[in-house]
Amino acid sequence: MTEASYTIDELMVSQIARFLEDDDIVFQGFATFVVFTAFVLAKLTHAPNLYFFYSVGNSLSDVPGRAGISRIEELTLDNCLKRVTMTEINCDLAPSFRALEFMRPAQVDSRGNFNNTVIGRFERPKVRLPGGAGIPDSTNFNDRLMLYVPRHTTQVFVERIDFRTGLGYGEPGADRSMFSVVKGGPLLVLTNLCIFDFEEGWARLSSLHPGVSIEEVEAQTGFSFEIRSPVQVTEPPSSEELRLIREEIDPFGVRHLEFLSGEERLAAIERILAYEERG
Amino acid sequence: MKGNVCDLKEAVSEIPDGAVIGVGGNTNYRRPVTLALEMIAQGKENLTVLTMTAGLACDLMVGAGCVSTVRSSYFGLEVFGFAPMFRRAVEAGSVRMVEETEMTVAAGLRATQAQLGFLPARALQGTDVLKVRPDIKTVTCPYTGEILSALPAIRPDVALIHALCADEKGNLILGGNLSIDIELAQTADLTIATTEALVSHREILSQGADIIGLNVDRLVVAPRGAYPTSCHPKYHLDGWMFIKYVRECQQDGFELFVDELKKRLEEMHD
Repeated sequence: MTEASYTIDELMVSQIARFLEDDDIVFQGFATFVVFTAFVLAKLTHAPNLYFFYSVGNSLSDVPGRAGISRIEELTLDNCLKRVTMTEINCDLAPSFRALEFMRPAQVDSRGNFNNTVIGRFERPKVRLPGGAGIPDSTNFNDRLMLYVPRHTTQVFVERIDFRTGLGYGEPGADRSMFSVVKGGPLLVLTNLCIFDFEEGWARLSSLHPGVSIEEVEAQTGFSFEIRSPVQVTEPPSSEELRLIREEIDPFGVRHLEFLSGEERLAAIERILAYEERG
Repeated sequence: MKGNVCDLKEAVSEIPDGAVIGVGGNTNYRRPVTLALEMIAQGKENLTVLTMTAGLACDLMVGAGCVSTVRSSYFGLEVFGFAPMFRRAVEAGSVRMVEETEMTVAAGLRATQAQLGFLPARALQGTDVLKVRPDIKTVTCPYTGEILSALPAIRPDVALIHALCADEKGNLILGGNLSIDIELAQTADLTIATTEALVSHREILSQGADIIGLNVDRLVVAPRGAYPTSCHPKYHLDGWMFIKYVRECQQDGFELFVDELKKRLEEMHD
């Protein structure tokens, strides 16, 4: 059987979806459309009992929906099980619900510590990023955290991050055991090139996407890493997964926004707004 | 709420320079934009904005030079990208950043509600937030021995909330996306709310109030008071306006945008 052709965003969506299990509770953050698409894909395939926590809707939901920009609250509020405040999510629910979360770091180091706060010095940054939101609140005890990086470059994978927004595995000699009673730590980093997992707290290349070489990953990674032996090849998405992604969940391609920046990204948003208006 | 529904100018005139402003709503949803525009029109200065997620309303106030300190866990336009004036101001050193997280804000407000100096949480340990927040102390749980962050009580001087509907006693219905508005209204000295519409007390009773009139001090009727952010279910966000904002700020067109936004609101009210 010939493999359906796919784009890398579709492979990443499929990988995230396959990671989820039925009865999981997943946490949906801000503007993480690849993750949203994956969560709905999982719900429509092998995880029909998935629950969603929506940070933008402030709600708990068990209903799948379509990716979009303008009318998100029609999904997160009109079709939710329960509305909660942001205070309740943080104080009462997140610490004990053990929701699975995929976060997108601006920088990550070889120990899975990551940065979403500033590039440069905190007091006078070169780039002030939007901020960690809930990231610093849970990394010391969340044992169901995954990272994903749409554009795997040496700007993201650095020797030393500028600010530790999220605790990964700390440093040798100052590791997680200093900061938490829970083992935890990111489980993997999924990128447009490969998947890293962590062995004794060190990033290890676990799987290469089809067509990607180890050399390419090395060239785009600013730290040295172990390589799993044998290194796996990431399974491409199935034709059913692709059909669901393209026709039902994200026909307007909102997930592509995570791979774009600047004017290209604004133009893509405009196209999506126009599709949404046409209905 | 003591007193009657009042007008926007009167309500905002009570806000002193230097106040800590709690801003209601969540990312690009139900932000008090009309209130922010009036803050700008009245030339408020030296404000601290305190919110969990800061967005367009806060960026407008930063861009207009009203803000000296930002306390927030996230300051951005979500899908539309960076909040341009905030980014510029922090990188230029013209605004001071006090790094919050969702928990420091959530637990901080709860501590105030509970009349405590702090609330403990597992949050922050092992992150650099503790390095830039030397005011946050650590406690050991007296029962389990676990090292915890002692998140200090916080409260705004003023809360700015936009409601879906309200009655004349200041009882508010928010529309579903509750954010931290209830906590802001409870802890602030002065809560100023705008509302899309006035409804009867009976209407509020039939649905249940989100914020009770006891926690509201001034109420202004301001249709489209959250525009171009959403006010669900009445209107969704206007993505075109967000894109216009981002593009115009890139070309030094912040003031131009503010004028265009005011004009657009006037057109909507006609």
